[in-house]
Amino acid sequence: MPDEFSDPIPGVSEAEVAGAVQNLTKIPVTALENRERFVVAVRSLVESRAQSGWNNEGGEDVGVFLLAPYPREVGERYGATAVSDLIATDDPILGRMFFLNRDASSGRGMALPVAANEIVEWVADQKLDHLPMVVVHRNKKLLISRPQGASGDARNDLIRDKPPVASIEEIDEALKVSHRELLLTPSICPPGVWESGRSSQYVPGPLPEKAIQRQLATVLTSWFHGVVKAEMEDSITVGRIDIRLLRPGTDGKFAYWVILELKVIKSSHNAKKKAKAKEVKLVENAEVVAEGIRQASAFGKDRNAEPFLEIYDLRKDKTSDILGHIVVVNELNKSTLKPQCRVWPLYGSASDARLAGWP
Amino acid sequence: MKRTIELDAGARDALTASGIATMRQRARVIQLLDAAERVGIAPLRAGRLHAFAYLADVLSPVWHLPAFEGKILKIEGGPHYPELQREIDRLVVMGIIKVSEISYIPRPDEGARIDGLYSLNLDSPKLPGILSALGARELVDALDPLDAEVHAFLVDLAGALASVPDDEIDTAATVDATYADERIHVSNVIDFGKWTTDIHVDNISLRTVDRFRKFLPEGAMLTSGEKLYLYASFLGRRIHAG
Repeated sequence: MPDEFSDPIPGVSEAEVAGAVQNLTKIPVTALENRERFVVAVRSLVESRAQSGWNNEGGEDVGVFLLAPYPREVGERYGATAVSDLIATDDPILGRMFFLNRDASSGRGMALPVAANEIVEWVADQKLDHLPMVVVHRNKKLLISRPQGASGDARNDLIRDKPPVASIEEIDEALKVSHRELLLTPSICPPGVWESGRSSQYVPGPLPEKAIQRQLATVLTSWFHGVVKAEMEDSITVGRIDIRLLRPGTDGKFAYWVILELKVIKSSHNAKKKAKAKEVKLVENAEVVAEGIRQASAFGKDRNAEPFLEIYDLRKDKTSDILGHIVVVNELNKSTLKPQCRVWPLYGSASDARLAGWP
Repeated sequence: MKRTIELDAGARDALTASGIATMRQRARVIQLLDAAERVGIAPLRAGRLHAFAYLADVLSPVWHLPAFEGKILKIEGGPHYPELQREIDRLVVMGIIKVSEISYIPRPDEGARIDGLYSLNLDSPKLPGILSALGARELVDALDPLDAEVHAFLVDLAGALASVPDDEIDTAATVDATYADERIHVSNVIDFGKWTTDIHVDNISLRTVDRFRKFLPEGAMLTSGEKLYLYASFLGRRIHAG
């Protein structure tokens, strides 16, 4: 068997291979479910159009994208015509409705069948409301995605007319947006963060870290698509990294840039309905955070990356500063590579969030 | 878990070696076209369908799947499988596949090859049951779970090829690292997995895919899907390098 990395490949140059790998941040996110993968792909397409000044678009304001299992079949019902490689071309996307594959690259397209404000009703009338949908509003710079279909929850994203850059400030912004829009209260939180029906009692789900990790990986993937590759979990000798970000270097090779370790602090352990939830003491939460510091620091050293510790606070009483706890302070003092630590409050009800000053 | 089906005597008689080979070819055509439908690149011209079939063969080890055919005769104009075309034509007659814009493409020496735009006949009442049995719908409905795996691979590969402009998919096969290997001349057989003892030696496409990891840090992983998309990107760059 030839050496995987050093033996020449007949007829293939290293430059060709290196050139292809440079597309790693731009290719579809195959690790995501089709619905999320589609939303990421549409956002990338729309923002690339916005960043080129909506070239070739005329005066239209709204575009609609539907993920169709068989784009030709559904498209032919409405006389839609074939479209291919929307990212590489500048075929107009506004004033149109598309039935596309999960990469938003090919499928069928047609003029909007009704006025923009009637789209959701039209989609429901046509019994297409199970299809993941993204609606683009150019003038409001708004991308409204409904991964579960037109009748499902909507998520709003700003259409960025400047491409993202791989900076710590952008990571901060992505985490802030994901916290505010996707995690803050139970109604927007992914399933699994809170125990079903017990969020108001501040009873967490069985594996809240996993639910948050998945959400953050999706957000970071979408946010940095084309610039940075986000990956979930990586088993190494010192444990498991929750999220890692890779970016290309000047030598054409990718390198680790940032690793994010996620921890949850809480008032109680998980308990099913009616069962008494066992209390979690402050010192237990502090030990969880201290463990997170140790892990983030070790992972950062192992991968030569900047370590971040993101702490999601599911406690009912959030008054005690977990980062000021002696167990946490001691661990930070011992650490030779100190992770940047942040605490993100999550609330068991919208009213609690409002009382805490969140709009 | 494989499902078993009780066959009557007539059906058992039909399952001769050649009968099974025919059924496998038909299943392959239907799976290829279903994948093309799902990623929105159907209908496909014959040349693109054969190119897709070839790339699926040569790249199947990326998905840890066996190649349908581990060899191909290298000819001018790109991969062509006569047995596959024969079953495509039969499936048209059976109403499972639709064809339009039929024409004849002259061959370099003599004669001509039939061409057309091929797609699944989504109106066929037989099609949903066939697709279910072939693993193109729910996994539990597949007669063989491996078929569902093959189908998932084909959908990912078709998606990757959809990133290559429509009129370049057949060209993509001709610049494939194995097909374009200059050590194998036209009218010779390229063996990338039939009799070879080490596919990592003879399947140059697979070696190219494996080489992607050289440009990633230690411990970084590529999913099988990512490898296919990067390889499609490699093909796209080769087409335009020209």
